[in-house]
Amino acid sequence: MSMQVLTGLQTAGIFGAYLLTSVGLPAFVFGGRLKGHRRLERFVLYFTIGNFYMMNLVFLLQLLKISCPATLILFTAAPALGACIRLNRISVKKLTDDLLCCLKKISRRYLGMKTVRARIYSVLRKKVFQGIRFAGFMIFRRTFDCLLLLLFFGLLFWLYGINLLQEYGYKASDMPVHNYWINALGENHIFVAGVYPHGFHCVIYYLRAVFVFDTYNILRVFGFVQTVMVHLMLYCFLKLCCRTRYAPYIGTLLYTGSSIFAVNTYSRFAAALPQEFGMLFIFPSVYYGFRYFEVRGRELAAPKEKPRRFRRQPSHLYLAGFAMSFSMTLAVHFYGTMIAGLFCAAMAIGYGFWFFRKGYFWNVVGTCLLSVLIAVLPMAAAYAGGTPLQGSLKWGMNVITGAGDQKEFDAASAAEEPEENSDGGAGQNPNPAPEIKENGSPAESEDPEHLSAKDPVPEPSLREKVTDYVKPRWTAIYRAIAAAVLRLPESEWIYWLMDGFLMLIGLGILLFLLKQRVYGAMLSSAGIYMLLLGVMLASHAFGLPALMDSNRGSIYFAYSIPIAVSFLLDAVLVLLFLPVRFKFPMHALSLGCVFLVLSFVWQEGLIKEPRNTKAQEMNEAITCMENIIRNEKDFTWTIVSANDELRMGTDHGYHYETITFLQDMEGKGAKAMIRIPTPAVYIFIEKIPLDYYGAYEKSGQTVSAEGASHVLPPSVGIQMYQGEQRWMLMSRMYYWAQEFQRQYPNEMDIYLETDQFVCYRIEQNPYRLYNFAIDYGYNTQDQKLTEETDHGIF
Amino acid sequence: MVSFRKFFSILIMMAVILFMFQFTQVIKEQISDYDVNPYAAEEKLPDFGGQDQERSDRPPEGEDQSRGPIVYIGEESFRTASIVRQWCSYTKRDLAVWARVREDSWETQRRPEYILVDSAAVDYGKETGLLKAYADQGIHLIFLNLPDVSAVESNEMLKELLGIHHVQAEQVETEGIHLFGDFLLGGAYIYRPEREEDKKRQDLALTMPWYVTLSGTKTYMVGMLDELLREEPAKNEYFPAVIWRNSYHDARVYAVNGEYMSGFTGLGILSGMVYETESYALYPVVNAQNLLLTDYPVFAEENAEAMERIYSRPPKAVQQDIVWPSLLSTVRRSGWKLTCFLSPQYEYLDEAEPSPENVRFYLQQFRESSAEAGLSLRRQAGISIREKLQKDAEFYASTGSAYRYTAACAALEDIPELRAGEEPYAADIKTVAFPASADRPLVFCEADGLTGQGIVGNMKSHTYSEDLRLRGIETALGYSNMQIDMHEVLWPESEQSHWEKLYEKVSSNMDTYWKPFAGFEKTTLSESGRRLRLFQNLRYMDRREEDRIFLDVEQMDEESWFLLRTHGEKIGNIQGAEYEELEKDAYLLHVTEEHVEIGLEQDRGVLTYTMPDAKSD
Repeated sequence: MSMQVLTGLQTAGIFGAYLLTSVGLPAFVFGGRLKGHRRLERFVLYFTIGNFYMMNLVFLLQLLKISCPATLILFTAAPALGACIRLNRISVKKLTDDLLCCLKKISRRYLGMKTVRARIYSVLRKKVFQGIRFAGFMIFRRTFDCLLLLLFFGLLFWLYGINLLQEYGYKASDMPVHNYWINALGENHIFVAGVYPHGFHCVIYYLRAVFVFDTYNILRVFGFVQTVMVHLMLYCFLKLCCRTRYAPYIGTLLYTGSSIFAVNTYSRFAAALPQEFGMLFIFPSVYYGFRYFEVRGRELAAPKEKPRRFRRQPSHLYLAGFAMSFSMTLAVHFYGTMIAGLFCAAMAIGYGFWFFRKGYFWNVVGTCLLSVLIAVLPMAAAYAGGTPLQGSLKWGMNVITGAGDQKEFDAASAAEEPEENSDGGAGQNPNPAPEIKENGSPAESEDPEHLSAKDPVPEPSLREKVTDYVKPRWTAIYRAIAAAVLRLPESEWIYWLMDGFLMLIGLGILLFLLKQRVYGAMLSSAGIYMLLLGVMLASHAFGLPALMDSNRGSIYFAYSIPIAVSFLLDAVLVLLFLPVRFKFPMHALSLGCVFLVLSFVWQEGLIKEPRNTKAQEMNEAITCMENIIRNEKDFTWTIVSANDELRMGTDHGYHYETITFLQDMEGKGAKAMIRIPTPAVYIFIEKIPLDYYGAYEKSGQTVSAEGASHVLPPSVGIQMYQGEQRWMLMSRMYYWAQEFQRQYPNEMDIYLETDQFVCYRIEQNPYRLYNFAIDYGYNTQDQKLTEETDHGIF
Repeated sequence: MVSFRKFFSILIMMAVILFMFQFTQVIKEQISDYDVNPYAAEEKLPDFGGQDQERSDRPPEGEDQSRGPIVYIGEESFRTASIVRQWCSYTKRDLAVWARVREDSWETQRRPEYILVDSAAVDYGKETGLLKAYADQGIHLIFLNLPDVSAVESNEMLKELLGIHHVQAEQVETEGIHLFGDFLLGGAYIYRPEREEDKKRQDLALTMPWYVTLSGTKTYMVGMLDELLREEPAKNEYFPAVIWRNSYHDARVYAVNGEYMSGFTGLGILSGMVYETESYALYPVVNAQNLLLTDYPVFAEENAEAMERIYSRPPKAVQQDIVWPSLLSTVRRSGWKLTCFLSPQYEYLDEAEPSPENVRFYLQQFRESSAEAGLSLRRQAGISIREKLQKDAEFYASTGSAYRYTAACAALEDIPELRAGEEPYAADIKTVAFPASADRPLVFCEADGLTGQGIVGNMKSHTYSEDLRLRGIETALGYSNMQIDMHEVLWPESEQSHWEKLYEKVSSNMDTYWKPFAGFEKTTLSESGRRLRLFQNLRYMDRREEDRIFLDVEQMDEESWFLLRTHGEKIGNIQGAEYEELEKDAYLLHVTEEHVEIGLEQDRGVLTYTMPDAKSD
């Protein structure tokens, strides 16, 4: 089987497992209860409940130190079964009686196995036919929806899926760190590197433990899974909020498939990173907020029933949904919480008409506090117990306080760093971020104070003062968007978009006044949210602390733009067709707009190209890794390689760092002692060393005698695996392997070899281990150059 | 009251049952050709050219010159010389014997492939440099034994050549010996008594110099020191090395720390070393596993008193009712083929004369159990072989049997007499089993086709050294020739010779220690003799081209057997032969054509998941 097929199957399996636990199981339990809700709303609710349960179950079991596959399955299955029985009012006695009766019939041969099988098949057949009928019905009734969804998923696969099948390895530098933390969960050691929001790791760990996937395989493919879900959540949010049928597709498809967004806004989707996983829960929490105000309004408007202290109300479902989603944003990544918090602040303003009323305020505030408490509790408990904060949290705090910048963050120590490849990324931004002075004015704009010193001017009017204050800041937001978020052909389009935010607020107010109060408030909230996001992006211009660095902020800004676009179109259409009761033309017009936008994007050549995000580990290495895990017994092998395989194979075997391996015999040759106590030893050597997170002057050169003749680089962080130093190390390893193979020709085989990579397999007797320290020529001569002066050997 | 009709029915049923039981036996007796020895079928003896044990340094015209000769440095009288000579003969390699180390002169001689060094013939103080020079040229060295430990310790060049890091102790008493797998056939084995009864089996030399090996070495056998393991488990790398290999430039230097090369074990060790040096090993084997039941049955009622006392039966009944049923069940279970050596009588000076009445019974039994009958030439002291042959002639004539005896069991010195005799019953002897000793060939084949097959051991005993020897012989020849001596039962000297005790040992040994060699065929002595003739007669040449091995066999009569040993490769396809996997990386080839082509496939480290443009070894 080829690795591509395997990766495809693994992706399908992991996607399936994730959907089963995050959607399928909650649907099984709550399906009956939530029958009256819209399908998409149910989907979002199930998704929220599933993830919340997974995350917090792992947190709880980890804190109790009893987390293992058995307890996870037990505490998943038992409550699910119990809840299903209780919520669906299933009579356990009747169920048991029926089951026993059936078993009795089978045991007494009143009922043959053939009949039982036939009955089961009949039920299954019925369900399958129902499913097919439903699909047919949907295709027939919602043909355009289906076509657009097909386009949506097709785009996702084309843009992100193909890369997954072409590059097998990790695509972010901090993936080994996440892998390490997830591995630690397997040992009930949740805060192994300090207090950190481990929601993402909990979900990955859950999938690993319950479905027996390897952590590294989940991390390899989960980036695609979560990217699809992130886009799907955006679609669900727009579909649930918009009143026109097709306006949501404009925002979704623009975000998914158009190239108007800067590369750095979606480059991180190639990897499975917590920040992007946290994005899954931002819009659901906002949606629950919208729905709460809508449903709560109806509840309060309805005639009062007999008062009961803890009467369950339909709006409570949305409060619960909000609490779960919001807590998950916090449990996964603080940045997600900041964005959700911004939207909540915007909602407080947009829904101010209701928010400060007694019937709403305490419910909302209480829910917010509860959600924060749920997320913070495990971390607070650990912190109180003396576990220090994880390094990346300090870095995040420094970014907010301005005490440090992104450069200070050491990639090896933790947290996510956006990868910057040669073919794109923040580093290649053609429009660098503008320099904004402390007072908020752009650097190139004239300083009024400076001017006044030379040439006194008359006192400006209030209008001028407002203009003087607003204009530079408005420009700062524009520049921030232009620099980090959008790549539009015309620069005015960004101004149009920003004007759209204001229009959204205006339309919201107008519709509010036209008695479309909740809808109007929603539009206003969205507009305010976009403005707040703009302020956050250009926070320096407003003299505010930077909540997050612009690279990260731009990701959220780009993710929010579809809301503005879809809402704006939706609002206009709703306004136009407000007096019309028959809404078909409105939907038709919205579909027309979709095609208009799509054809425009096509004509202008604004289609996003799939990014070939290079993995930071060769495909050959992953192929070897898969084969080793598959073919060797656990803990009977060791891989000698650079860095990444260290955490990947923790559950199955051992790892020896290349640098340590070489250093241990440096200057000593055969007099040193290197024993690797496993029957099989695999040596990974890159014949054309990888550009590990950054190219260097002679990138792409092959290992050579020249490379091997250099002094071994010092072992500091991951520096020795980067640039030219990686070439030196790999050259050394190559010549070590040549010499070792000469000494042990029958015991050392080539496991896999390509033009750029070679993996050797050494079989040894565990009762009499080889000494891997040998004199390979370069480790015993005082770095003298050999006679071999060729610079390439292939 | 039984009715007449029922009575008649019962009668008919009884008659039918009686007929059914009796009929089979009667028919079996009638059609059984027990009087014919199936293993003595007339066969065309291969055109045997005799064994040229000694060959010159120059190869004969037209012979494969790709393989260099073997050079043995040592005196002909050395104990290792006989083993080396035998091994060269069995593996069809040219042997040159040098009494002393010489300077290389490959211009006039063929460059040797291996130089086997008996340390007694080397003055290490002066000649180490010469040996090193051979290694520098890529000639593999095998030190069949090592000089005195002090000579090694003081000789840095020798230590470097042998891959010795340092001498830890001049002598160390080890707890046992650990033979690692993939060297001799039969896999890894730990020769260390764990139970009280195992202590009797320990007869290996446990005291040895303690050499600690360098990097670049590979060890095949070590002495075990529990003391070290108790300190730190990882320290087993420091166990005293017994057999190891050092990679010295392009040469492989093997060392044997002990006297293992002086016995038949050395045959296997040499084969193992060649296998470890090459990318594969392909050599002919006999493929025969014999079990000899000597002096059974004895047809005279000798030592009757003792038999009555021990078994409450006369000797005839002991052999027929006690020994034979139990032995037969064990042999059938483990698949052995018996070769029973008939002995009319042991004591020729007493009055007890052999009775021919049971000969027919035993021949029938042998025929039914695929056994073969042979002649035993053991007799009481004071009777010459000639007298015995003459006496026995009368007995065999009286049996009236036409059975052709083609196998015999005799001392080596009796063989000329046996061949010179004119007794008709001994005229067909083609193979003789004899007690083997290391200074004489284990198996041989004479010009007239008579083969000699050394008895490797007694089935009642299986000590550690015997086990190691068995592995060695199986590795080199795919052969074993074991004996169960029934003379001991009929003339018991101690309680240990009583059948129940002997049977317990024999049956457990038979079931246990030959399991790793189950792939080799169980044969009678005559079958084995025929295979031996084929083995000795054939010539072969092999070569490898990438993943294909080509074998050309000459002077092969219909069939022959070869052992193929690979390093992590398996047979993918084969032409001209059939194969059976003996163990991992070891295959027994049954060659039926003169040209054999073997396609090898990677068996070790095969990729399950592949990627385009990748190649694996």
